[in-house]
Amino acid sequence: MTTYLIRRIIQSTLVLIISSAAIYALLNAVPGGPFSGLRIAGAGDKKSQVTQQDIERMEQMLGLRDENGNPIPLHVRYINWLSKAIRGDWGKSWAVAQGQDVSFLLKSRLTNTILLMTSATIISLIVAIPAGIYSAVHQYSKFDYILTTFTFFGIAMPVFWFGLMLIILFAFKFQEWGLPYFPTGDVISLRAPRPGSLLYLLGAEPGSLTDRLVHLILPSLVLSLLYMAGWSRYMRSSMLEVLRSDYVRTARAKGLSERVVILKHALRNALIPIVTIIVFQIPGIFGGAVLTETVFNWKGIGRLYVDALSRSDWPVVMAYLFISAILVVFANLLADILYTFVDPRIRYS
Amino acid sequence: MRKVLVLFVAVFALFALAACGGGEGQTVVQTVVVTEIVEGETVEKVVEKVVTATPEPVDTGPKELIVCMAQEPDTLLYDVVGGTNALVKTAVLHALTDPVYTGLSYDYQPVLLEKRPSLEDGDAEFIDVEVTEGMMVYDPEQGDVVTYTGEPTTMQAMRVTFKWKEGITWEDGTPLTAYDSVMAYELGNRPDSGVPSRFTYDVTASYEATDDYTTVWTGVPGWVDSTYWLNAWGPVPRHELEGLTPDEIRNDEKFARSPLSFGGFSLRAEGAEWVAGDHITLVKNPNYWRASEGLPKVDRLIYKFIPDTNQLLAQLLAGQCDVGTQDGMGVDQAPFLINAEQEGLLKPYFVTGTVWEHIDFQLDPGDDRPALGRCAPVRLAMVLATDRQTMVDEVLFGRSKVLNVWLPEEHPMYAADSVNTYPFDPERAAQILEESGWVDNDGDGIREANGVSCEWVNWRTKEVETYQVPDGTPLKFVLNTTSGNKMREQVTQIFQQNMKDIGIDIELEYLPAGVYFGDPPDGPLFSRKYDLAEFAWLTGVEPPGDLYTCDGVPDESNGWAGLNNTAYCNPEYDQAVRAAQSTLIREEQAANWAKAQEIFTREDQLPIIPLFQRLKVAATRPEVVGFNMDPTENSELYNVEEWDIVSQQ
Repeated sequence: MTTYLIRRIIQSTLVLIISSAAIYALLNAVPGGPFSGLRIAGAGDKKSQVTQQDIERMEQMLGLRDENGNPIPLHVRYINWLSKAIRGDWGKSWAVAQGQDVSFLLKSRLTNTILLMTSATIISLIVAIPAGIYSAVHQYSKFDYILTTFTFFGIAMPVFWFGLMLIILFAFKFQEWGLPYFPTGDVISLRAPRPGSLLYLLGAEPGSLTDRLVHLILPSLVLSLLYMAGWSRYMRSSMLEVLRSDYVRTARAKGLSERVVILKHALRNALIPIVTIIVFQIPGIFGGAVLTETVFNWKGIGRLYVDALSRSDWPVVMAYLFISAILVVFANLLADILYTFVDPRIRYS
Repeated sequence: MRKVLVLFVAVFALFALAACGGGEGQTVVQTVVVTEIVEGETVEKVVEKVVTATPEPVDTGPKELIVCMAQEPDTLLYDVVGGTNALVKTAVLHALTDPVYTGLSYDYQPVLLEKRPSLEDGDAEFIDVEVTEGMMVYDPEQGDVVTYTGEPTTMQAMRVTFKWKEGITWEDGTPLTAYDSVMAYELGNRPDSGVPSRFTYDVTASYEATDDYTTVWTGVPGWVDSTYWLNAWGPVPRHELEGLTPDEIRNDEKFARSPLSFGGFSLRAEGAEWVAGDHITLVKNPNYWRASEGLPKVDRLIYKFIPDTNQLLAQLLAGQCDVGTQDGMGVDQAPFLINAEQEGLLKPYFVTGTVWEHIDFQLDPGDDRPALGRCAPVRLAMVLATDRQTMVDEVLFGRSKVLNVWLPEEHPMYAADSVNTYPFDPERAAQILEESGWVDNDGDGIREANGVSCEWVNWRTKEVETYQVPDGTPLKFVLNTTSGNKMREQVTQIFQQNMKDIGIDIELEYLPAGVYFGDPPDGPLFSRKYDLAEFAWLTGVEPPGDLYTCDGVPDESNGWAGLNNTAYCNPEYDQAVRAAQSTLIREEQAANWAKAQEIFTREDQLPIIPLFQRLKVAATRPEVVGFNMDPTENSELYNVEEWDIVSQQ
């Protein structure tokens, strides 16, 4: 196992170096850049016109050119970046928060993302696993058909559309009907709640725990529905496969109760594919959910990434992608290790 | 399953009950004691009255206003040390500082200055300067500042005196003086300042304070500044920045995230905060110099960042925002906003801004494509056949105006008597094409060249040349514009149909903005590798006529300098533009700009099809007062200290 782990860690490091180099090269190949709009921004006014020399001077300030104004070769810039990144110095943001440390920016959004993603993941697991098991055990029952319909609905429905529908229903229609209505978005309220709203009813002070929890409901509901739909389907098919295996038939033949057969013999093996799914959720918990965060104005990492991408803020984008790459590699390794616990037949050497 | 259902119903019922209990303004029966006076006697009796229960006046705490913007400012760092000049940053800075001038309605109004200097009043003047070898002078031929190498001589230079208002203080109580303005100049003038454009610093010989409330700007000899009154730098706190380098200022979070204020609000006072990615809360500055006028009118001003337009509108409707700014919404939201206005829910604002859309021809392509843009009759026909009013009506819901030239009609330099206008006339357009040799020989609906030769002015030689279009060349153009812009997609589709109607084939190609506006030689626009280009320029107080001068054609030979992507060239036009720019007499400026507009819109010129001014769209809740949008003042928050909320729930 130790030899295996060492081998995997070396492999993972190589994967990370290659992937980060590829990301760095690709980002630098993207047309445009932090100064792409400056050329036309000052048009028509000689006093604010930006010349090529002005742009080169600013590129020098960002470390894209050396002291003499010559462009620094891509590989040299990459090595400089990597050597700092390894030490946790992701550089400073170019555009999203000019001059701010990228690590500060990431940290400022991480709590919100982890809160949203963890809630959605936990809710989804609590619902999806039992629902998948029940559906498999009672195949072709009414519940199974309902669950199947629900999963197709959940998978097919675009998150941004479903999010908007929830906002219309819970924020506006509820208000219209005189019911306690939800906030349309945000992580916390910035002002005292309006009479008639759910927050007012609960006496939630802006920024309090209740305030945060109420704001969390709609976005986590949208995300959970999406996850639940997929995961319950996985659980169902995995369970069905196991239930048809010989050892389950043997267990039943031994006269064990159905409860013991399912929970003790079938479930453990059926969980193996689910372990992969859960472990691969780790990069997602860091990476956030771009659409949900945008629709509900949830200040998370996903939104930061999209913002940085659209504003050519490469230090932020590089940090996000590199950390995501690390987490994907780590999740892979973790999944392989966890297999050995879930399934004793798996051995690494 | 049943239990889950029961639980759901129970929770729902709880909500419903709570809703009933929490309602407001409902009618109740209540027993009250009233005192009635009957014929001079005071009689006390108990009566039962039906009264409408209204909530007790609640102390709502500080009066606050939430402004929702799509984007968060990247920094609040001073421009003179490299802080970016973005609209959202300006929106926040308007609350923390006051500008030297506001730029309302195509003019400038002094705010921090006692008056706008002028040649007529004598606080702007020309002085004689002895010029010797090695001095910096402005060379009109090169259009740049150069080192003088000739014999000693006398040249004229401009000198402008600015009088700053007294009684303005920084939020810490330190008086704001002329030295704070000079500090800004000194920082920006350093080689390591990081300012995007150095031109203003290059044409400045000196900028000094002569007393606490007077600064004097002197230009380099030879530089005639048509906007000389703008050469006063917005103040920065000298008492905080003295001795620091631009790099030290850039790296100090205090200056980027909470600069010292002298405006209506503060970001350093207790209760103020900038929560990254979420919001900025500003609190009233008690030392504001206009406090005696009762400003600012609200106690707390919150900027919230909502990139998603639907969410922003939802928050406006739900009362989670009071104002939605122009960066968060566009003309696409017009139907929704108009509807919300009719229902009394929101108050939308539609103002034609300084951004104007146009379709550009290409007279000298940067590659080997046919140069059909050289043919004046084709350009004229295409201008006539473009149904610009329909574009305005359908795309901008009739809220903008068709443009005739690079200036809107409300601009003081717009010359209504000189500009040639081309109302929609597809029949005449078709006739012009027919007469100039463009006929549909093969009956496919697209015209082909039949003995067409076009005369055009080569911008390199400034000579008239003849371009022979090979017979059989189809009248076909590829029209490029940026992708992901619904308005441009709609406009170009209308244009495509308009052209089809007169036998011109238009292929639409949408490119990402980064690619489209990319630096030459890669970016197609400024390397002139296109047939037709649809995009926008900005106009302002100064007419943007010099966008189309012969020396502004970007080319490899001039290091891709210049923004005249059309390669249009007319020395007569250039002369009019230069004459307008080099005089400071308003009548002469107007006459020369009028001449330039007349030349530009002649039937044999027309290097562009001016379309319309873009709309600036914003919305407030009905209870917000004092909000105003102006065509030329970029940010609608220029008077944020005057905003108020008349009633808050």
